[in-house]
Amino acid sequence: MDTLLHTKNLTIHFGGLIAVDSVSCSMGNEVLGLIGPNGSGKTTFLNLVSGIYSSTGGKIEFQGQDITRLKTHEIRSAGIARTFQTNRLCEKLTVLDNMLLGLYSKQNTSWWKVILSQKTHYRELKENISTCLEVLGYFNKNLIDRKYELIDTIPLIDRRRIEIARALVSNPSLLLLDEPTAGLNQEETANIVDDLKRVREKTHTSIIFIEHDMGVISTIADRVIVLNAGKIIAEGSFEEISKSEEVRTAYLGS
Amino acid sequence: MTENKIYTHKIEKLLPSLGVVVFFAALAVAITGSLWSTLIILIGMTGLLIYGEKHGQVDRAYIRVEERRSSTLTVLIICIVLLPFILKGNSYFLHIAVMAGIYAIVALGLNFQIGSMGQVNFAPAAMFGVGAYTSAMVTVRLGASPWIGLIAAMIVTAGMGIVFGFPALKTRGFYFSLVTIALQTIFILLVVNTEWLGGPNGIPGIPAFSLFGQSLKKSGMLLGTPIPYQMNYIYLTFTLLLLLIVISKRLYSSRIGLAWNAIEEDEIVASTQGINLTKVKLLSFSIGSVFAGIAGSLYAHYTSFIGVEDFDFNKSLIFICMVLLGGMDNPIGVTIGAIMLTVIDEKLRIFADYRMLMYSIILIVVLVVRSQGLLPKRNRKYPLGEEN
Amino acid sequence: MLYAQILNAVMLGCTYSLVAIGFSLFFGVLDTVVFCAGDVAIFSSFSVVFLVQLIGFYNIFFGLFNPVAALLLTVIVAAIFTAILMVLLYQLVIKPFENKSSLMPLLSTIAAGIALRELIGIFFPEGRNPRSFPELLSNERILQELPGISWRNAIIIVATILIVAILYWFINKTKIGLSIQAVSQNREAATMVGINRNLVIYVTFIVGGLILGFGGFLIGSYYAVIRFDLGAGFGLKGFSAAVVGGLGNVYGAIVGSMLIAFAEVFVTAYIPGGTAYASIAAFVLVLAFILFKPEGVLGNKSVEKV
Repeated sequence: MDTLLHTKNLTIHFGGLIAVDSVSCSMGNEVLGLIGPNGSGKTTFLNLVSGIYSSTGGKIEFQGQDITRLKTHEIRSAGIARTFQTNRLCEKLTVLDNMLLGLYSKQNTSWWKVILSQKTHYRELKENISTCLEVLGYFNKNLIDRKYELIDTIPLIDRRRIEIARALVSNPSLLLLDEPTAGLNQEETANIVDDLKRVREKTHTSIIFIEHDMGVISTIADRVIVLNAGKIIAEGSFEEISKSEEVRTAYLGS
Repeated sequence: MTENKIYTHKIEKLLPSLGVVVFFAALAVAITGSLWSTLIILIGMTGLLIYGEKHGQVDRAYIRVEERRSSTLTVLIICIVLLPFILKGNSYFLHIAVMAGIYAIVALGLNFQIGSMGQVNFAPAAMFGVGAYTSAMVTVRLGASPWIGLIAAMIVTAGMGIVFGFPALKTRGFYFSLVTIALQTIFILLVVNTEWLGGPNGIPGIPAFSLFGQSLKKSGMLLGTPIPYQMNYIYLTFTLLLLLIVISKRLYSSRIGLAWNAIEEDEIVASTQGINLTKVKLLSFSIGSVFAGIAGSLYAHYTSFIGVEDFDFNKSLIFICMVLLGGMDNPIGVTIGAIMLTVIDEKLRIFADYRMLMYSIILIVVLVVRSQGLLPKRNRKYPLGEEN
Repeated sequence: MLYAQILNAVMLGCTYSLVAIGFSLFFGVLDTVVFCAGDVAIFSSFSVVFLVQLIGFYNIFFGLFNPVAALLLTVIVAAIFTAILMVLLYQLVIKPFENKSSLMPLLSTIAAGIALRELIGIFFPEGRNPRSFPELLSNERILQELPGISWRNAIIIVATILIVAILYWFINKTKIGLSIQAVSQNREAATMVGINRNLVIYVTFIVGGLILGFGGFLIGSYYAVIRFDLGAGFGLKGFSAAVVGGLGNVYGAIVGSMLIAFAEVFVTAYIPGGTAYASIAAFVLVLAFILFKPEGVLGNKSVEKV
């Protein structure tokens, strides 16, 4: 299996707090679940990989390229897209505009071309819009008709879907999902899990996702990494993890 | 997926053009009429816009204009050409129209920061001043042509825009606003204390633009009636204004405008979508400043005298007022806001003492009652159907 | 020479610091900048002028009380006027924008400041001309051997220290003061433990209004001549001082005021032709702080929330 993402001694501390403590791991084309108690550094790990934080030590390699010092937007262009734990769509923009934002890194028309001529710009825009609608329709056909509606009229589950779609639309090699089912009820959770499965089948995009719901983990994760206090304490398939004594102590407290 | 044609009667096809004509007629009456007629027209216009917005008429109007873009544009241009004659060739009335155009250009530039990116820049007047002073210095001190002055003003303001925009990379919100207030104040203090820039006395004797060897400051004769030179400036200013509105609209509907909106809402999300924050933010400041620079150059070569009080903090506030009143992130709205405020400002000249009081009250009322402005931002609709 | 300059800077710093404390107090509870604080302070100066004229006109108070009591009464009444004005301003231009973009109250308070100064200019008799501020504090030296220390200067410094001391006591020792601190540090948590946020805000605006009121009196006494548009400058300097010291930190506001005052006074004194560049120096200092140390001298560096 080719290595897609590889981290070596990845560390970050905020003042005295070491949030991620020399994490070394690698993943290939797979769905990786990231679990651990609150404050164990899961979200911080995603923030490091997506370039929102810059690490205080260690290295991140993506498809053989060192991305440790790349800026956030460069990492998106390199092919890592993400969602956030709290739904972070642009509320004052329409569904379609939010989707188009996801394609920002794939658009080439520079500002002066936009000013000088609309033709190339429109051609590109048209292609992009059809891509966006296609991806949206993949999640929920209704959203295509609601493309010109503002985000605040859209129900939570569909917002979650739009956020995932926005990340997927640029066809990334790695998708980072921060608690995709947070705040959803059981039925909605099942829907999202179903969506993710279909996405995986169709695009073969690698996924790292943070999750608290063990049911979700066991359904879609090929492999699980358990973090506690910023360190990896266990790694392996869900069955292996669930048997680990150390993981139980971390979750239940000693 | 074609948009449904909304109009049912033939006459409705003419509505956009009719709207333009009515707008210009109202504008002409507002400029030439007594104070009361001006107030009635402006209040009527405000009411009409708010009513239309509430009942979806404005949205329909937008669609109609899109459908009949070329004819609307033609009518608009004819109206502009006729504007000096509608204004009875009176040089004072023409002057008001020129100033409205110049201020609208500054407001359009400011809109890139306040409207699109949500960063309140309190230094548009300083940038307007940088443009005016650059153009004036190049022509008065170096003896270059005003056109060279205009280009120099554009180049210098583009650079200064990056300098003024630099703080926006590091801070936002109040901190950024404080930075721009400080820069605005520093600009005034520097000009007042620099002898070379005319100090507190300003710069007199700035040459006018000339075209084909003809100075635009020369009054002409048309069909035996004298036409004041302000007419030339109306054409020049409104041509540029029209051009800059088109540029603003194009930027708005492009990915750049979208990126600015995303930055306004959430910088981190914007950067995770692949938006280069540094580049896109500086672009907003740089383009906005070039707009102000063009306006400044026009102003300098129009009035032939510039003084530091034309570019002080109060002026900045007036520009902000124009953007807020007109409608943030809507170039047409901003232009209408700028024109309305300029006209009313000139009409209230006799009550000069109450001027700033009026602006501050307008600002508060707009913020409390209608913070989205008279003609609010429109959701982007894209030409999905076949191009016709 | 140096001694005189230091004294000058301290005096200037005192006049800035009360305005800066106002900014910090309001920012603490509201997370927004109340930009009209400078104009509110100048409103207080004009209130004092008004009251003194009134009192002088009827000549009642000087007949009834001794001069010190009359002076105190004047200042306290002016401060109460100012506090009422502050609460009114909160109702009119700040409260409507709760839970909205924080830039809206910034704009509305700037507009309110302008409206206030224009109203003074229009409605105060000859409001647009510079007014001489009544010499309520004697300009005589306390001791002949000590140049520069007049009764006026001494009272300004002592009053500033006294106000800060009372504020310290109020914030740290009273229940409502502790609530103000709680709201400043964490609004949600404070509401959860049952603190009445509205009450806290009103109390803060009253306290802030009183401080600005006393500040206006001290500013008037120090400058001896006041203008209706002085507030713009004081607002800007006060806000700058609050930012330099660490926005939201009351003690930082004092440090920031002193830093800015020292920068201004020393540029004026030691750089040839420096008078013109004093304000520029102050603003350059602010720019440097905002860009490179935005948390200010005493503020805490907060980790950006993601």
